[in-house]
Amino acid sequence: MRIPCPHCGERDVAEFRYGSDATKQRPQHGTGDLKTWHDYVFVFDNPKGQHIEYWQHVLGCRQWFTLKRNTATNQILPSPLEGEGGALAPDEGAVATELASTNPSSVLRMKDAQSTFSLKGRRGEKKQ
Amino acid sequence: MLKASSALFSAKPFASNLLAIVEAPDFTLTQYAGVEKDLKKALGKLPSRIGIVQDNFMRVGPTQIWSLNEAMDAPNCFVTPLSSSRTRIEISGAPAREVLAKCASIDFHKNEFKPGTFAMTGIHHVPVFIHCVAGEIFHLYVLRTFALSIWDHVSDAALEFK
Amino acid sequence: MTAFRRTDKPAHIDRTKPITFTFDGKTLIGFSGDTLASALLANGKTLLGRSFKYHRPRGVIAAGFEEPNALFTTGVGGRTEPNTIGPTTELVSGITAKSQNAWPSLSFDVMAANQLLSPIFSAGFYYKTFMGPLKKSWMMYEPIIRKAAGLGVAVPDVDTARYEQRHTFCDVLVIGSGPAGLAAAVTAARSGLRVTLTEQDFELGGSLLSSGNEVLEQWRKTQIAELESHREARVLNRTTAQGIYDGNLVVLNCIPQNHPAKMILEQCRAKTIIIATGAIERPLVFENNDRPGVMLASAVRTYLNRYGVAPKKRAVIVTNNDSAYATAFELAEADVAVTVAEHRSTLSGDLLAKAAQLGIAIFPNSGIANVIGEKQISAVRLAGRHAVTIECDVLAMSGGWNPVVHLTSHGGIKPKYDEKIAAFVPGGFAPSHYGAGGVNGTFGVMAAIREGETAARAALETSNFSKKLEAVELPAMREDRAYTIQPQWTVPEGKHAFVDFQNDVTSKDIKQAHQEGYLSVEHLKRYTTLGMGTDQGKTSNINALAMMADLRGLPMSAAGTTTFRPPYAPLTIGAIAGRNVGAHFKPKRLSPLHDWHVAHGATFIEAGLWMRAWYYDWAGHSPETAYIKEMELVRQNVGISDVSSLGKIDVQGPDAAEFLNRIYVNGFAKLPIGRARYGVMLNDDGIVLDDGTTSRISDTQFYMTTTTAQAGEVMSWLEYLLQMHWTDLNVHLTSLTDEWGGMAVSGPNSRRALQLAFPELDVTTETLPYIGVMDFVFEDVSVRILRLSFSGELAYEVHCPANYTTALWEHILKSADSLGIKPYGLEALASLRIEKGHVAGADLDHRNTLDDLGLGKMAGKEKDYIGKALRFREDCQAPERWSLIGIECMEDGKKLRGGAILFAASDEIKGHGRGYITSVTWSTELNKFIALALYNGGLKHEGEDIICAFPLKNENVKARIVSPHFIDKQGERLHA
Repeated sequence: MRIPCPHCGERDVAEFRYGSDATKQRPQHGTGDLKTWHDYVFVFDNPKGQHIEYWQHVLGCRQWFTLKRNTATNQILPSPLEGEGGALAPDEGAVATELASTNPSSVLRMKDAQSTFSLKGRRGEKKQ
Repeated sequence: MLKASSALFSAKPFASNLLAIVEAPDFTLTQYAGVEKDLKKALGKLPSRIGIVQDNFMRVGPTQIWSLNEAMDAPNCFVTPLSSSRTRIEISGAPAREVLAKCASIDFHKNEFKPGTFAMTGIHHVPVFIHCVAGEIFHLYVLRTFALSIWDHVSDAALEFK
Repeated sequence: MTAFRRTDKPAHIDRTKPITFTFDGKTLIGFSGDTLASALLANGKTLLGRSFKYHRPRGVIAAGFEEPNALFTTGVGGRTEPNTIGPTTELVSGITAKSQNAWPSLSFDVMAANQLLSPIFSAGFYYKTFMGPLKKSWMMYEPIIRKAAGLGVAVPDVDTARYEQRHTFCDVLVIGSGPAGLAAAVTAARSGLRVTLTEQDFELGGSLLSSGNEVLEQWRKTQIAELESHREARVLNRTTAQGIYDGNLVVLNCIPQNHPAKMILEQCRAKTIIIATGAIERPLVFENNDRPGVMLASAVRTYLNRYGVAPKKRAVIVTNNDSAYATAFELAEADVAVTVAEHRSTLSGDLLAKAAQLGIAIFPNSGIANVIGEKQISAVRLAGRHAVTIECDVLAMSGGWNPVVHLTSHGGIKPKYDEKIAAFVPGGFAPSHYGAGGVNGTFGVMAAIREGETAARAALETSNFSKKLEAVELPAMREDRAYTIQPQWTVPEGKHAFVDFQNDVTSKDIKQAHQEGYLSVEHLKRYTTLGMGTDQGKTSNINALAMMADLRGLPMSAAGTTTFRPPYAPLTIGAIAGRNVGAHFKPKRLSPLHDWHVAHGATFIEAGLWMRAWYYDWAGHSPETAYIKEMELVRQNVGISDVSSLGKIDVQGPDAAEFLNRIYVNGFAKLPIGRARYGVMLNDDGIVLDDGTTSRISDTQFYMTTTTAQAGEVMSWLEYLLQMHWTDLNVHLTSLTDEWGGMAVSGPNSRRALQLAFPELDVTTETLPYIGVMDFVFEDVSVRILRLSFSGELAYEVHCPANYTTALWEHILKSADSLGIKPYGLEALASLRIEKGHVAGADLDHRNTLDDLGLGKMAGKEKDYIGKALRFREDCQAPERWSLIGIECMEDGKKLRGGAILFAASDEIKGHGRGYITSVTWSTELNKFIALALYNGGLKHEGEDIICAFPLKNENVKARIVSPHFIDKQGERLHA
């Protein structure tokens, strides 16, 4: 897999480290109760299809950036968060909403796992 | 002045008619960090993007510049001397690009990796800064503590040209 | 009795260059240009191996990678290579080939008795013995079966061959050098773009090499010559494209010539890929179709035209399609008497006429009923109306052609069934991938050439090349004749009709799988082991799928195929490891003081990637005792130790103090300039991430240290916070781990040592109190002294740029020599900190909370810090968490051991216990073994007796839980 570093250009995946799910909104420092932090740290969607992730060009410029990747095909799309000249991308909660709305059936929502997840049929079981 | 010591003190010399691998010591490396306006004010004209060397200045991040020039005052910038942090290995000769292609996943074709450009990449999982000085001359800035290991790795890659 | 002979017709061998090799110890001669298989056939060797399960005699079937049977063990010692494919192995001088799976000899194989057991060894044998009522007997039979079944054997010797890897890039990668591939490569190369052509064979040309046609041979040579003239065209023969991965990464394994490496694994990143991998012929399935002498018709043609190896006198051809007639005609022209058993009832006139002209008898509506002869066929009996028996040396079979769709499918595109050619073709191509020739099911030469050119033009367009290019010249030949086929899928009767020759799977096994309900392709494969050999079912899969579809009454299109995964052909593990073996297995990290340690009698130990000085000769030669002497030196006098591996980070910016205040649990906002502070960081989940001391150099600059182990992790985490989340903070981070070297000068005489080394400097407690920091310039070099102690003694850390660390270290040693200062190693360093009760890497298992480590009180109550919320979650507050304790050994003459499992004195010694020892040392102060440990409930149990169990050595040692601070609880020594 080749990953386009917004600063260095396209490089081999081995030069990067994966960080985490970039569709999640990190609670503001010093705010948020136990539940907010619990959900942020432990509860993840596991989408098949388009996803936005944090990656770091750790063997290169050491810059973190967001990457829009299709988890099923590894196809990489131009990140909507990239500013001009590869400016750093801050949190953007809106992205998560956009992602979910474009391809709802592909998103398996693990946080609803206990109530809705079964091997037999998971289509259309997404609940908010 | 205290005597400087090389990280490649015990490195096995590489000898070949086709290719030279040598340490190129005695350089000054300084990092200047700060907002673009302050960096420009202090240092002058700067490369606009990562990958090009301009008057010994190299942009290594959106807000960081490396300089091979003598360290200078840079008001409102944050200066970090890094001369000890890297060991410089020079690879030169016709097969240099071929040897590098065995070490890093960068396109070293002469039309792609031209003199005056550099790439920050990895060799053997270690971050390495590769600068194309001239057509067949390359400088590898290797983290000092990994220098001997990378020297061995690169020399081994060059075995077929020995 | 030999079934084959060399012809004197032109071929792609050089009859003036004989090559000597051995087979089962016997010396034989072939020619340059031969493969191992062609040379063996030319020497009359048709019995070449024994089969996997039944030890049936087997010979060559194919002329390429699809060969299931002619596999050999080549080489000796560490260079031994099992399952070498005879038809793809270039004959070079000195090859030593051995047949496989036969004992005591190839022609008399005791295990052939397995054939009598074939009812037992049938499909599902393994599953039934593992799972069913026979389960217990497995233990008994397993060693016998392991010996009896199998092919080549891996040797235990180290592979001494060299393997390399390299990275390449190109605009157009053409895989396969048959007519389509050559046309594609030449067209693409004319653009001047970077073109790479790969060919698995040692000769370029693919099917052209088998054609025996002079016009095509001229065309082939012209294209190769032109390719050589294009500067940016790279031609790689002996190179197999093993797989296509994400981002157009194609893995090629190349066998270089005149090169120190035996194999080079190339990771080729291609902008566009043209797949011209051709097609592989399918066998037909009939009784005893595995006998030596039964071969693919195309292989017979290849051996004839490329290698000049022809059947002695007589050949029978059995076919359901037109392609086998080329073999029939060319054999006849080479004076072989040919008879054709034709499954179809009608045949086009041109073939009939030519057959008649060459005196070839054709039996329509005929298949093969049986094959006669065991180690070499002597005759075949036809099935159908003409149940005649025909004597022959070779039976050439053709069941149609399977496009080599593997590479088109690695990205997940399933092949689709094409009724017209009765085979699977690519189900589509990924963007920037193109197919040409046989892989598309295009079997004519002229059409393949045209497709190759078209594919290249499309690929160039994708690469944004738009200039006009000259068309590739076509060979001066008539157009291709149409290809017709009548699929032959019905499951034959009989017990020895083989579908998978390599894994000994018969048509009967497929019937059985069907009867027992293993219907899907993937189940069929695993139940019968079909296609699971080294050939990955290249000749067998489609026949088996078709038979299953037939049994189920499904059309082929509904049956589906198994998944194609890389590698396409067997790949030596050494090629994947490349040069990363032995000393190059992983990078080594060396302190700037490393050479000094080497010169001064240090023994080293690996700590992560670091090589660290473990102990020094001056203190003895045993790791068990040397460190004790070194500890005593520090406790009583002064020692110096290398701490350069500590992670060091330059933190600068107007918001640096606020930043540190957020990441450490304790406050840093008000840290005065010239002071250091011990800090602990948590992850978001409230678990301890790392600890270290951070000093304030100026209002806007801090010098952070991290543990050696977590340095990289901490750096990335802090960068993540600043770059992705706290973009409002103006802070710059730079790793100084390599820039600065460091040494700890420790012991009651450490201040005197520094005074001797830096007489100008005031290092008294008044100017440099505990946790004080001082920067100065010594002989033009920046030096930083931090009054910190890991050992619990009066101690300093002296840091300076790595280029000068050795000089500074030597200066201190020389200046303080009169005190008796000496170096101490990692073992003593670690032991001293255990006595003091400092936690380190070994004690932090990424499950500890602050409270587990007894550090809960450090955390600021009012301030916010990372991990604060989740630190207080229920689980982290549980009373019975594994928490830090100290342990004293209570039995004289016994040892505590790291990793020992802890039990309460009254517990039964069983299971996972209540905790474990994380660090252990001999205490020079207490004269006994002491340890740090994590224990259920922690210091609530202080004073209780426990058992430290070490089952590996059958030891149970009595010990007592104590405070982890074994010495100087008041810290008087530190503050001295």
